[in-house]
Order: sequence, then C-alpha cells, then structure tokens
Amino acid sequence: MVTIFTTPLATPAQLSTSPSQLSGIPDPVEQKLRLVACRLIQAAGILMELPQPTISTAILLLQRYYLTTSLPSSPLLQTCLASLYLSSKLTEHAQKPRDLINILKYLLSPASPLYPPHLLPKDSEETTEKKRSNKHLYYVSEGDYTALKSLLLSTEAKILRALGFNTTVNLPYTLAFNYLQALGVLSHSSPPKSPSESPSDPLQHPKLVSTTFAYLTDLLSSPSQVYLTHHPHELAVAGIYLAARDHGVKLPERWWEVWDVERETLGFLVVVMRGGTYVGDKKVWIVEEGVWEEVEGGEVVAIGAESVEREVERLRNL
Amino acid sequence: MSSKPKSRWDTETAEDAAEAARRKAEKEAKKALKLEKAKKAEEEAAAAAARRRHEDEERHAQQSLAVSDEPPSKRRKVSAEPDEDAAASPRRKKRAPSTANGERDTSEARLLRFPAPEIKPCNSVDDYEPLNRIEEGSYGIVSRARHIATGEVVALKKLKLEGETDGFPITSLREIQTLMAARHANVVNLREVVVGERLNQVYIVMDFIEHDLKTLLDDMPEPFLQSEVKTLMIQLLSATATMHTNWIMHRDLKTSNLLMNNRGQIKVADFGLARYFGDPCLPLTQLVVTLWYRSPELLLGAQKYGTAIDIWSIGCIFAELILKEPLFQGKSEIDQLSKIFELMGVPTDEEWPGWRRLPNSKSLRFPRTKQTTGHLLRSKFPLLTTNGVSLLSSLLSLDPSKRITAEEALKHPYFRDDPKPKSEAMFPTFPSKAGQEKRRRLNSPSAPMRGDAPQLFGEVGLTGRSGLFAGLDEEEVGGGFSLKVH
Repeated sequence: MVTIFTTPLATPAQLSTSPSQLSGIPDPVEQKLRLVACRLIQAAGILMELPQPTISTAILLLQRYYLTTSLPSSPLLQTCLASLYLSSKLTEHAQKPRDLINILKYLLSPASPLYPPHLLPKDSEETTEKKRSNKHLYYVSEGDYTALKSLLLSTEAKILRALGFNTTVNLPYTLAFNYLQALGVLSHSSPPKSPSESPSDPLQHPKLVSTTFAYLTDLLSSPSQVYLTHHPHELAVAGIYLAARDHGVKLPERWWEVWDVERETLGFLVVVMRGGTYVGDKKVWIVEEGVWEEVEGGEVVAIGAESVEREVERLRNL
Repeated sequence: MSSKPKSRWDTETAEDAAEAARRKAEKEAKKALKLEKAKKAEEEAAAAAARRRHEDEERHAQQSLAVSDEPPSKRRKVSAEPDEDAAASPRRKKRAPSTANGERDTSEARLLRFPAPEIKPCNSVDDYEPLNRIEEGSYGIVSRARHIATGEVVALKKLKLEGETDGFPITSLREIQTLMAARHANVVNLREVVVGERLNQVYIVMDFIEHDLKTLLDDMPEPFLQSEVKTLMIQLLSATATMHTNWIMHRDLKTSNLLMNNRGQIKVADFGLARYFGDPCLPLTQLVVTLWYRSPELLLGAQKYGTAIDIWSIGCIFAELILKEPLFQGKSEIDQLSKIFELMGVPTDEEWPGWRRLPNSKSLRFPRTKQTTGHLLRSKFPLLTTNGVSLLSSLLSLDPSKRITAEEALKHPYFRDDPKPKSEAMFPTFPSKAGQEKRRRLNSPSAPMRGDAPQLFGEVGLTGRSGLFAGLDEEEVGGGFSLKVH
C-alpha cells in the first residue's frame, strides 16, 4: 500500500519562515525550544513506559504544529502535554491528563535530572541525591492541575485544527526492519554448521537493528527537522546505511535504489544524521521559569512564556 | 368546528408553499450553476483543443527529429513535476556515453516518487452553505450542504463534542483516521474536516450520497434481483477487503450504514466504531456492532476478536438483501443468541472448538440435541442457489476462525453463477429521500454506546425450532412470486 510510504510533509515556504519567527522569536531560540520539547517528550515517554512510536508521534505532531502556529500563541509546556496526550490516543496507548501533568511537572522540578545542579538550593546540608528525592518539589496542587488540564485540552483541539485533522504519522522503524530483513543481514543465510554457533545468537548482527533505530530516534531532535521534509522510506534507508557502516556490514551495491531513494537524498540525510544535534556535547538543562544562561559544561533553557520573552528581549538589546 | 380543520389545512398549505418555494429556489440556483458550468466547460474544451493541437505539433516535431526512442507517452493526468521533461532529457543524454564505456551504470534506475499531502490548517465551515438536515443520531448531526466555491453538494457531519471531558474523543479520532486511510470506490469519500469558531465545532465533510440501503429496502415494493444482490455484495466485500488489508475493522456494518447512489454504487459509511487492529489481536471492547448484526463470539463475550465480526455482519446484510428485512431481530443479547442458534444450530464442540470457554457461554444453558444442531438456511432461503446458500453459510459460520475472509468470499463461485452480477450502470434509480426531507428514523436498534459489556445469564430458548415452518406466518408476503406453504 502506498499509504505507509507517504506522510504529510512541510512545504519549503513553511520551513523558510516559521510563524514563530514572524512573531519575533529568533531562529536559534526557536531551535533550542524545539530541541527542549523533544527532550521533555522523550523523557516523559520513557518515565511513562510508552512505546517509542507513541513518543516519536508526539514529537512529530509538535514539530508539525509549530509549522503553522507560533510559540508565543501556544507556549511549550502545554503543547508538549497536548501532543503527548494526542499521540497516546492515536497510537492506542491512551494516558490520563493527570499522569501526563504530574510527569511533566516532575521533569521541570528541581527533583528532575534535567534540572541544572547549580540552581539547586544550597543552604541545607543534604546531598544532591537527597534533595532530588524530595517529593514536595514536584507536588502539583489541585489549582495548578485544573488550569494545566484545561490548557492541555484546548491545545489538543488547536493542534488538530492546525494539522487539518490529518494525524497520519508514518514512522520509519517498521520499514527499516523490513528492509534489513529483505537485505538478508539479520539472520544467517545458511544453516549453522556447528550446533554451538547459532542458538545463543540467532541474529547475524545483533546490534544492527538497535543502532538503526537509535539513529532514527536521534534524528527526531535534529535541528534540520528532516522528518518534516523526507518520507519514511528515505529516513529508513539512511538509518540502515549508517548502522551498517558502524558495524562493518557489507550491503549490495546501490541497494538504496531498490527502495526508491536517490544517492543525493541518502547523502544529505547521512550528513544530517552525522551532524547530530546543534548543541554538540553540551548538556541542556531545563527549567520552567528562569534565566537562559551558559554555565560550565552546558546551558540552561527556560521554557516558560515570560522567560522566553525576556530572552528574546535580551537578544534584541545585544 | 369547521374552522379548526380549515386552519390546520391552511397551515399545512403554508408550509407546503414555503417548502415548494425553497425547492424551487434551490432548483433555480442549480440551473444557474449548471449554465455557468456549461459555459466554463465550453471555454475549457476550446482551450484544451488548442492545447492539444499545440502538443500534437510539438510531438510531430519531436518525432521528425527522431530523438525519442519510446512510443509517445500517455498524457500525464497530474501536473506532478513540471520540470520532469527537463530533468529527463539530460538523463537520457547521460545514458548514452555510459552504455558506450561498459556495463557499469547501464541503467539509470527509475525511482518511484511518493506524493506528500500538505500540512495545513482546517478550513472554516463558513465555506459551506447549509441546505437541510438529513439525520440526527447519538454521534452527531448529518446535514446536506453546498460548497460555496464549487457548488458541489456534500454531506456535513457535525461531531457531538459537548460534554467531552477527555478532550477530543478517541472514537472520533479513529473515525477520521480510518476514513482517511480507507480510500476505496465503495467507501464514502472524506473530503476534509472543517471547523467553526468555537473549539468544539468540528465537521466531517463527505460526498453526499442519495440513499441508504435500509430505507431503500423498506420502501422497495420488490426485493433486489439476484444479479443486483451480487453486484452489491461484490462492492461491499471489496470495500471490506480493502479495509481489512489496511488493518481497519469497521465494527458497525449494517444496511443503514451502507449508502447508495443513483449509479448503482454502495458506499460504506459511518466509521464511528472503526479502529485499527493488530496481529496478534489485543483485548478490545465487546460492545461493538449493532445488536442485529453482532456475531456470536461477541455475544458470548469474547475479548479477543478480529475481522471475522465484520464478515458476520456482511452475512446478515446478504440475507437482508434477499429477505428485505433483517435476518436476526433480537430484542436482547440473549434473544439475539437464541435467534442465531435457532437458524444456524447450537454449535457442537467439533464445529466450534472452545466456544464453551467463552465468558458468557458458561452462564447460559443451551438445549443440545440432534434436532438443534446444523443450520436451516436451505429452508429459510428456498429460492437461493446452492452456491448462494454455501456463501451465506460460510459468512455466517459460528466459529470465527472458520468464517470466510472478504478476499476469499470475492472468489466464491456464487459470483460466477448465472445470473451474472448486474452492471452498475443498469441499476434502477430511486427518488431520494435525503435530498428533500429528513431521513426516517430507523426502525432498528442503534450502535452500542460506550459502556460495560453486558453479562448474560439465563436459558437460550429455541422455541422456534419445533416445526420447520414455525414463524412463517409472521413473515411479510411481498408482491411477485412467493411460495405459498400453507
């Protein structure tokens, strides 16, 4: 079926000028916020034990949403909540708003590993470990909860409208797995010669699949947003290409053409994947309201609307 | 005394007049539109002719130069890539030297290009002009509307979102998702989703189809001919096969959800209960499918079920097309089961292994003697051919794992027997109900709402099986041929 290969893509016009830029948010700030949103959604998804396709769907919904909506009109926290909520329904792993809100609030609290350590209260003698396990740090009051929930629900409706209710998200994971199988690199082509050879390790290259998937998942938070510009089969082929190179697996000549990928496209995607995220090895710490700052070994990003506004103002005055 | 009936008469005529005026206005508007369209078409035809002439000249020029080694290509329907030709010609040039210097890179691979839908916000419902209401159900209101820009008449379904506490309901998400994925000539076409000012105003825009099969069957003086039944069944089965290969279960197939246009096509509609399924299947809600079309495994409380539940519904629809009335009209879950077992027989352990382990069958007692097993389809459908009965019995197989699939059913010899399926173009047309007035409230139970699945207790009585022809006097006698038994 053609439907599993096609996914809604962004137009060049949508990518060149985002609504956030039009409303005065500089490109680097928007990119950082998008990266932070991916991190938050990924972390929340792992804590809630959601499958990766649900998490990836949420990230893609958020990326698509910000193609037509600006950050000031739909702040980051509620958009993260709403896209996770929506994707959990779309992928039949529905979650309660309460759980999502609790987890996101935890991730933004001082108890979270995403919280910058230098901002932790210094007065008490407790160790960092002890401080982080303090449950009062991430308690969500009933008032906060009600307010956030109504924001979550209205943002969900806004996401659906902004996407024209086309929530089709075709991810490259299944295709990548099928392609690997078709390439015959997963299982031994010939039966094992000695009984000791195979049973313990039925896969020829046990790490190949997980490396491919890791590349594909990493690519979600890449600043170039290739999930919005490339079809899933192209992403799958690029993921396999890099994983095969990492593990020294030899593939037939020009195998990517079998799946209708041009050499140029593959080359571009490989460069993007190798490029990694724009921050490099720097750590990104996330707070809800605070100051954007560079500290030793990383930087702090504050996602609250006011903090973003203050950062934009600061950049403008530079 | 005389004034009262008169006044009543008066108001009625006033209403009639208003209705007639509205209809007339509509007709005139239509006529104006048609005129305009004809004019446009004429202009377009002229333009197209000019274009064709131009193209022909070009092609001749090309052929005379003898550059093209291929037969003249078919005209592309879509304007996919305007620079396609420009891109192709250098490639062709490139190919020549490479073939000259060796076998490597002999063929430039022809790669498929996949279309990408755009990511764009919903249009407004104000693009449509409301005409009249068609139907109102628990899920929403369907009305007829005209797209102002194109003048096309569509069906507009407003989703009921008031009182939703969990945001956009998962069932509506599934409805839109599955309807977008299940593109088929016999599935109603989803045009777009439009929204109103408020966040809870969401409308699904679909093609407007004149009839639904239930109302048609109720109003027809004669049932469909065998050849017509075959065509309808082929359409229904091929739509269902497409849904099932796309991992979609409809879960509410019934005659009132099958729309029919005046060109002999049926369209599966109302995906309100549809959802994606997986393999192996997961426990799903048992409260699906309208009672009369619900399969025995669902009635017996199976938590894991598959596409076979749609096939059971299709079996019920097949019988209904022949009988002109629903096959099993149960009043409750237990009554439904007993009606099914009355006709199809109480399953034996060989016929349906493991059916006794289903949750609800433990608490139900079934009379099981030689008399109650084996189906009675032959006597219920005396005019159906042997292959017809064979298809019906495999659609209505009690064991879901033995039930035929939609793909297999399409290859059934019944469809190759005489009379051959009637061509769609030869179908009779019917006056539209939905076009003018409200669709009649249907005299059948509605689809189940969300809730807990019922627990069944009690005894399944099979009173009807005492005599072969018991209950025959309740049957309606239609016009035309029918066998008199009494």
